[in-house]
Amino acid sequence: MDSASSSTASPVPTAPEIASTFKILLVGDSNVGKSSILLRFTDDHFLPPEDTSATIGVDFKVKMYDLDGKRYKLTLWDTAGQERFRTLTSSYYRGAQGVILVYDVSSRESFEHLDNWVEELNTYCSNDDVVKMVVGNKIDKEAERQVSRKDGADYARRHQTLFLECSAKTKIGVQQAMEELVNKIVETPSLWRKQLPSKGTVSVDETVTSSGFGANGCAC
Amino acid sequence: MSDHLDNEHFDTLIVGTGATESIIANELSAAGHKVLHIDRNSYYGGPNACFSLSGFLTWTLTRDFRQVPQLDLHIGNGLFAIDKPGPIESLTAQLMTYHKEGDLSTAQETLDGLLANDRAYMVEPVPKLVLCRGNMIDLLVDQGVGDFMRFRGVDHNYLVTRQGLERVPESKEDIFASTSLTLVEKRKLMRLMTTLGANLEKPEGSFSQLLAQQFKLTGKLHDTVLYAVARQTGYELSAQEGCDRVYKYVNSIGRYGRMAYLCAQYGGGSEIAQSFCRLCAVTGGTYILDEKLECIEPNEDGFKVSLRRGTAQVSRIVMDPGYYSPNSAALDSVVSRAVCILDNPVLGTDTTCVLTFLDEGSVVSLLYVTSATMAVPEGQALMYAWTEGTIASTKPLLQRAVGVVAQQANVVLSVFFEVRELTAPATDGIFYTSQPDTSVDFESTYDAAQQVLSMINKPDTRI
Repeated sequence: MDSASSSTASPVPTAPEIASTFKILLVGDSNVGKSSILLRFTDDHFLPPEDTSATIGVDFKVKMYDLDGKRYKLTLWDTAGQERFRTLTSSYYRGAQGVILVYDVSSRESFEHLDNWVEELNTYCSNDDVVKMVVGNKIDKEAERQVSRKDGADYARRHQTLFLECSAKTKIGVQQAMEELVNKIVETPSLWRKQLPSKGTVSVDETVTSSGFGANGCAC
Repeated sequence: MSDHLDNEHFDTLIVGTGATESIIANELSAAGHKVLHIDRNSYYGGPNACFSLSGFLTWTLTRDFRQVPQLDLHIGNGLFAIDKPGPIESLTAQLMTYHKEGDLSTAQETLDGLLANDRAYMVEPVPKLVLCRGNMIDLLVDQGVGDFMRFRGVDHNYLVTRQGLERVPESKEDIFASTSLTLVEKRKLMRLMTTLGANLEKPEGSFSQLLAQQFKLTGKLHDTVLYAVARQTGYELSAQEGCDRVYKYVNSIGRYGRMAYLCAQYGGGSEIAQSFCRLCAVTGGTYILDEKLECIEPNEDGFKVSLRRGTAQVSRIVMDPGYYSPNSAALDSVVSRAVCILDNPVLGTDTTCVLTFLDEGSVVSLLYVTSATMAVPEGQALMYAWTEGTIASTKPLLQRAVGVVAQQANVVLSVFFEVRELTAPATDGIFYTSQPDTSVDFESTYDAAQQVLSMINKPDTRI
C-alpha cells in the first residue's frame, strides 16, 4: 500500500525533491502584523487595515524555498488570534524549528511584551536549538516610531536571536527576514535531523487511510 | 485588540476545554457560530489534561475536590493522603505535609530524583486511546488534525489474571500461529471473527450468553472476547452492543498497522482537545484560560455572563458539569484510578500495551506506556489502572493488578484517586456535557459531544 513513490505521484516530475520540512511560528501581541508578514511572504499580498482586524481562517501557509539546489518546505503558522488572551496551545509550539517574534516599532508596549513571548517560548519549545528571530514590523510608520532600531537590536543581542526590521506594507525586509531564518535553520542540522518522526509512529493523514476519506476530504 | 471583554456578543459560550467541549467548540465555530471558549485552569484539556510530573503533583493539590474527593500519593513506602487543597509555592515541601506513614526522608529523596527529569513525564489523570476505525479517528482525519498530532500503534493487548499475562490474538494469522490455543479453540475464534465481521441478525440476550451459546466459547477464551476485546466493564453488555464492539475492534485492525488502537504522542486527550481548540480559533473562536465564570444572568437574548476579564452577551452556554452549576450533582458512578511510575519498562522499552485484569469478578483496565510516546524518561514506564468503585473498596484490587503486571519492577511513585461523574440536565439555553468514563478509548467522548450538538441543533431549542 506504500507503493506510490514520489516520482509517480508528483504532478510536476521536474520539481526537486523536498529535502526537509520546517515549522516556523509567528508570535507576538495582537495587531503587530504577524498575519501581514505571513501573507506578504507567502502570497505577496497586503490587506488594507480594515480587513485585518482579526486573523480568521489562517491556520498555516506553505511556501517552497530553494537553497543550494535543495528545496525546503516551509510551513508558517499563525496564532489564529489565540495571542489575544495569551492562550496559544502548547501543541502550537511543539516541533517548531524557527520562531519569529514580532513587535510593532510604533508600539512600545508590543516591544516590552516580547519578554512574555520569550518566556512562553522557552517553556514550550521542545528543542533548545530552535532558531529565534526578533522582527520589528511597520517601519513604514517612521513618524510614529516608539522603538528605535538600536533598542530592537540590543534586545535581540541580549537574547541571542536574529534581528531585522521590516514593513509588511511596503515589502521591505520581509523576504530577507525569512531567508535569514531559514538559512540559520539549515545551518543547524541538530534542529531538523532529530525532528524526523521516530520509528514506529503513525501519521493519520488521509494518504494512509485505506478508504472513505478521499471524496469529502479534498479541499479543492 | 483589547485583552478585556466589553459586553462582546457571542453565539455560544463554552465552559471547559476537555476533549468533549473542544469538539463541540470546533463544530459550532465551523458552522458559523461565534464562540467564546473559557477554562478555569491555566492549561487546556480539563479532565483530559496532560501534565509534566510536577504539573501532575500540582494537580493533586489543586484538583476539583468535589469531583476528585480522595487521593493517596505513594512514594517508595511513604504514604501521603492529600485530603485538602494546598498552596503550591513549594511543591515538595507541601506534599510532605500530607505524610501519613512510611519513610519521609527516602520519599523526599525519591521525589527529588524524579523531579530532576520533570518535563520528560507526560502524565494524564484520565488516559484514553484512539480506536483505529472509530468515530474519533474519522473526525480527526476529516478535520486535518493529523497535521498536528502523531500516534503510535498500541503493540499488544493482554488478558491478565493472578497467574500472569496472556496475549490476545489480534488477527487470523495470530490465531493460526498461537501456541496456547487448541485446534478447537482456533476454529471457534475464527468462526467468531468471520461471523461478527459481518452483520448478525439482531441477537437477543447478553453478549456473554451469545458467546457461550452460539459460539461455544468457555473459560479463558470467553473472557478474552468479553473483557479484552468487547471491553465489558461495569454492566453486562447486550448481545447487540457486544457484537458492535467486536465488529469495530476487528475492523480497526490493519488500518494503521496490526493493532486496533492508537496512542497519541505527548498525551492523547490533551493533544486532541488542543487541536480542536486551535481549529476553532482559526475559524474565529475566542480563547481565555485561567478564567472565572463569576455570574450568569438570563435575559431576553440569552445570558449576560460576567468573567474576570469583562462581560459578554451569549445566546447559549455549553458547560462541563464540573463547573459551578446549581443543578449539577454527583452520580453514583465512581471510577477509581491509579497512576504508577515503574523503574523498569517491564513490558518492553518502546512498547505500548492495553491490558485487562480479571480478578474475582472484578475488571481492571490497564494501560502501559513508555518513552516511546514521550510519557516517561527512558528506562522507566508508566502504568495506568482503573476500575469502577470507590478508592476505599478498590485500591487493593488496583494494587494487585499493577503488581501482577509489574512484578519485575518497583513502583517508585503512585497516585490513587477516585473520580465522581458529575451531571446536570440541560436547562433552557444551558447544555451540560458528560464526563470521562471507564472506557479505554475516545468513542464515548465523541458520542458525548455529538449528543450535545444534536440538542443544540434541534429546531425547538432556542437559538
